[in-house]
Amino acid sequence: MEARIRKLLQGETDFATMRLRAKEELQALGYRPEAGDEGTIKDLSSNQRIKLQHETNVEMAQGYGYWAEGQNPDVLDEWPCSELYRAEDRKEKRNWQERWVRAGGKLFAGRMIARKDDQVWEKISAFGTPYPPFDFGSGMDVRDVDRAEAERLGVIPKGAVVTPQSRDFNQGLDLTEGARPEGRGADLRSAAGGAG
Amino acid sequence: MAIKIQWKDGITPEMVRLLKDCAPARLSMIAGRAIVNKLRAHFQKLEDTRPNKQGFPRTHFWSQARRGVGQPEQRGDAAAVTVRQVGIAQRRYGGTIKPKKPDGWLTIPLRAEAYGHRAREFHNLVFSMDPELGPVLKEAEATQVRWKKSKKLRTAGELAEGKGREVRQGKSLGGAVMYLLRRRVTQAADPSVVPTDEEMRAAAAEHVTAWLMRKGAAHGGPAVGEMGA
Repeated sequence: MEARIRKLLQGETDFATMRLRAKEELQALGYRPEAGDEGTIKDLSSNQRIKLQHETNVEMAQGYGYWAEGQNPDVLDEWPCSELYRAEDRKEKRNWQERWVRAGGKLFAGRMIARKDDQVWEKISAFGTPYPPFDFGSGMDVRDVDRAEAERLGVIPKGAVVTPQSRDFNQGLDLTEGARPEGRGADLRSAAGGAG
Repeated sequence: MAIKIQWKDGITPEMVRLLKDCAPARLSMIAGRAIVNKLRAHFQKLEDTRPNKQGFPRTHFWSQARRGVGQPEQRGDAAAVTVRQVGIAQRRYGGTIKPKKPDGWLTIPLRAEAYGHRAREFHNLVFSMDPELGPVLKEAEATQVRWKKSKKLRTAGELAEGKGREVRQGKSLGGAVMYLLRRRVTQAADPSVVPTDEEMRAAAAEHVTAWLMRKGAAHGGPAVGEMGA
């Protein structure tokens, strides 16, 4: 999967091709979903499972890149704040404004804006990261808010300095018991219908 | 994109130092971020206003393009920004697309369930020559099989042999044309898929100027400046 994600990030492939490759790989492994799970999110070869898995990984790498570049002191000086906004429409939408306020975020002219060093970013995230995606398939994203606008809206006082944050992409990541290499082999063999 | 900066007057020693010593890299970082943000905002606008023409379920192509705007790369005193999204250059510049294999076909989805999917993801497609559409891939025609419990009383042995059910013919399925097949497709260029050079220059100039003005003001300014590309 790592190679496919890298190709997606480099713009060398698209999601449709990636999904086909993922299905072909699972087929070559002899994977068969559990009875009753076919076509559901539990089925590793289902469209929705492949889409969710790959999109979340790709979006996380892209979100990290935009966030990390935004921590440059000069960039932070010009764009000290970010806005959380709905980037993609969804049939069923989570209530992000409620989640934002519950996490300590404030609204400015009805907009969810905060300093880039505000803890609210990690608090709204299901993954504990200060960059998007903040949840599976949410359709939410962030955009920079420049100093002039942030000061005008009262998000920051004039001349406020926002502290650059440092964070490794894999920070906070840990493998759960079943995902550790020794456990994963058994899972894969089991997922492949007992092969190997 | 290289940005040339010209200062008219009111320049302070700190500004001179900024422009002379550290400015190129720092300024190109600001200019690069401004262009990244301009591109992201532009793709967001397309995401909001350009659903696919056929009304198929959205693949959020423009949203993917927005997220695919890479971070600025320093190239001397300039910054380069790359949009890593398959198909964006084709839309911007147009041109003829051919299949990778010389004898291959391009597949153009005709139905919602085919849109955003590779033809090989379907296992029931067959080549067909449609009198109106030309070469196409359509669903293989099939007949649904229904199993019905037999009314006749059976012994346990007969049931074990599978004699307790009757096979009935169900509905006829398939035949729907899923993809058009073409040897090549030519698309017209659409410059509107990215902001104009002027719009990107203006975005870069606005933020570099604001940043420099603030730096100047913090060190004895105010300074008055203008930028050009």
